[in-house]
Amino acid sequence: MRMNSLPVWCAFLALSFSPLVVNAEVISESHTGDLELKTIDVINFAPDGVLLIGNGAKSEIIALETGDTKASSSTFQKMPNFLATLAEKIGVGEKDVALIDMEVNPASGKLYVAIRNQKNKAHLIIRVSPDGAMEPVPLTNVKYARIPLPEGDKAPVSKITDLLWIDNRLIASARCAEEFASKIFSADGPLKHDKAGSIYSAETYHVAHRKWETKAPMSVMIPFEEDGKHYIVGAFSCTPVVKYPIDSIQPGAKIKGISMIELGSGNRPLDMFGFSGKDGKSQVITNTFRFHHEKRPYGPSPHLAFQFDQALLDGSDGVNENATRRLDGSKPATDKIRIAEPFHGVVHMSRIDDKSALAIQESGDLVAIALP
Amino acid sequence: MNVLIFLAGAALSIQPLEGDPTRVVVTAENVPSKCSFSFYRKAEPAKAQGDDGAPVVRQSPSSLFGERKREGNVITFVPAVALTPGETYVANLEFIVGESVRKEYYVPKEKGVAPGLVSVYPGGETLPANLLKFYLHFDQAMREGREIFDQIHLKDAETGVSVKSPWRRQELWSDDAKRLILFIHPGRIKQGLQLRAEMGPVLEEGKKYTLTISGDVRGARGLAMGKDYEMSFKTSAPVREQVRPEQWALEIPRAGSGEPLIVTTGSALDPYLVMRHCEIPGKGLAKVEWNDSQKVFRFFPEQKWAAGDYELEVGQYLEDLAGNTPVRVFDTDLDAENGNEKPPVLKRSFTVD
Repeated sequence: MRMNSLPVWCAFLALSFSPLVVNAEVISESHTGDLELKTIDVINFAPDGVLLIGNGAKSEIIALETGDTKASSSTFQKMPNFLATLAEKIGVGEKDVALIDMEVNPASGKLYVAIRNQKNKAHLIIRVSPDGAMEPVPLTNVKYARIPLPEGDKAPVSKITDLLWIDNRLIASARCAEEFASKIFSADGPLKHDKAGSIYSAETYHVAHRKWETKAPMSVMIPFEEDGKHYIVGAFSCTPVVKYPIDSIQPGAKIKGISMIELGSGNRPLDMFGFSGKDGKSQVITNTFRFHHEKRPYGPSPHLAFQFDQALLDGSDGVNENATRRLDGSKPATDKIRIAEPFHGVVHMSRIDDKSALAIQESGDLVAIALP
Repeated sequence: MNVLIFLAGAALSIQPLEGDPTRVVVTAENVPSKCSFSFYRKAEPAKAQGDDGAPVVRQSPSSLFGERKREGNVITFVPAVALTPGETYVANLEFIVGESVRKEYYVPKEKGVAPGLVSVYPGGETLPANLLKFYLHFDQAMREGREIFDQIHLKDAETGVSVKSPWRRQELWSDDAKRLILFIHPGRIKQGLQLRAEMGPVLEEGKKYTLTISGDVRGARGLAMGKDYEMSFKTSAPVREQVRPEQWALEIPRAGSGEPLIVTTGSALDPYLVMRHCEIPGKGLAKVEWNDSQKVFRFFPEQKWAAGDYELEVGQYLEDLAGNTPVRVFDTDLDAENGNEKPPVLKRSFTVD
């Protein structure tokens, strides 16, 4: 998710628009064969149309060369009953399709949607073109690299919560099943088939809890760059936004996250991306499921989104116990964090460009939403 | 006129591939040049009117993903996805005059029985008020999806009032989808968090609760359990201290015997994590048993004990029922000046003689 973020954050994206610079290679040693996807936790894109597929149950990440690198000339229009159509296309009723994740391929502008057939547990990735054409992503005789998570970890990963390609590295956030523990996985690029990366435990300062904690699993991530230094920015349930310096993710190092923003309790982040707003200011949007909706709604739906100024992620002042809070009691504490009303009811979303994002709504419609 | 001739001669067949009823090839023969072919799931009849009373506009169902080839007047279609047991599919040829021929294909349901809940851990009569999670074991693969969080309820057994939004809605199924780990929302366990302040804790000390798993919970084949599963328990004081191996009582086996090392922990531990995070280096363990209270663990050796010195090593990820580990307290005592944590003890030595 959320790889398609601000050009300033995301070196590869910026480079992809420049004819003078060539992207660093994502995969140097791939395998050609048939790919079976028994489980999908999350998807995202690396440069050059390389689709990253996280499978925590199998302790692996697949980097699939889709070959989908030709930019589309058309633009997405609203597709009513998108999920119902997807269900028909795989031969089940709408209630028997579970939407897992979605991501726009920055190289082509096409949408990739990961779904599960609830009746036979088959996992599929569907490619949707802006003109509405849909097809399953081919998995026969394809080039891919399988990146196994390291074996022997005392608290094995059961679910990959997000994936990111940043600074020529593959980063994954993950959680364990039995243990309430958070992990960060890293593999240096270019990726080689069957070459494992390393896995680390991460610590985060919990603003509301006033303490360094190792346990809370990160839900979503985006890349962030500040003064030439790369960071992962992650959002957690209830909803601290934290940055981790990439160069701290080294063997033997203790990874400490710096809490920057507190969006408030009762929310579970689902997706996050950055963009350059109409006024030229860099912005970030994260959509969440508000399990607190019944008691204290912030809009017509438990699915809502928060937008904040990227500048809140800068610097080392106003962090941890002094992080910027969205609320002071029940009132807004700052005008730099707002509810993004066009995103009410959005279940999943992905950035197309600085002007618009694609979103699947609770109704099952696929819509393009103009970014605020 | 030609169309009518083709109508009479057009034929559809649907054949399973390699005996698998979910993989088929659809063949249409004697097909005229101008016609449309589709292969779709037969949906339930739609209502004539929607809930708002407006007439429902019926649209043609989309054809399944698949590869269609035409050679002469023969069309073959192979769906790209497996057909789903229990569903009926329709091959349809529609001609320009609005006439059509169709053939239905039913994918037999897999034989099966309704799923059942085998066990729920922890299962003691009394659980700490800051209990972190339940393990639900089913006897077959279950249907995944977040709907299950709305099918498992916690109720105050005395007032009958349901606890609202008690679960962390992240699905943690085992690989075979037979076990679900159900976390109580940590934001309502930890003191000082806004969620707990606003909604209160899920469990309160000194109360009785009923955990109900609805009979509507479905297995992977679509069959529902059929009857509710209920478990009652009462709550004790929250546990907000580290797991303390130094306080465990060890009952040491005799040399030459295959007796278990019996460890009485004093506080209830997560047995799955005991199995993963407790080990005796150099001594293989055949199995670990525990009692209902999850405070007594029996470590059976693979081979008889030789006389000598051993160590029981305890991993940093071992948890009690409230998520406390030997290294960390899950919750923080906000009133304690230096926190409520002590240097961890991760080894217990014992001598077999």
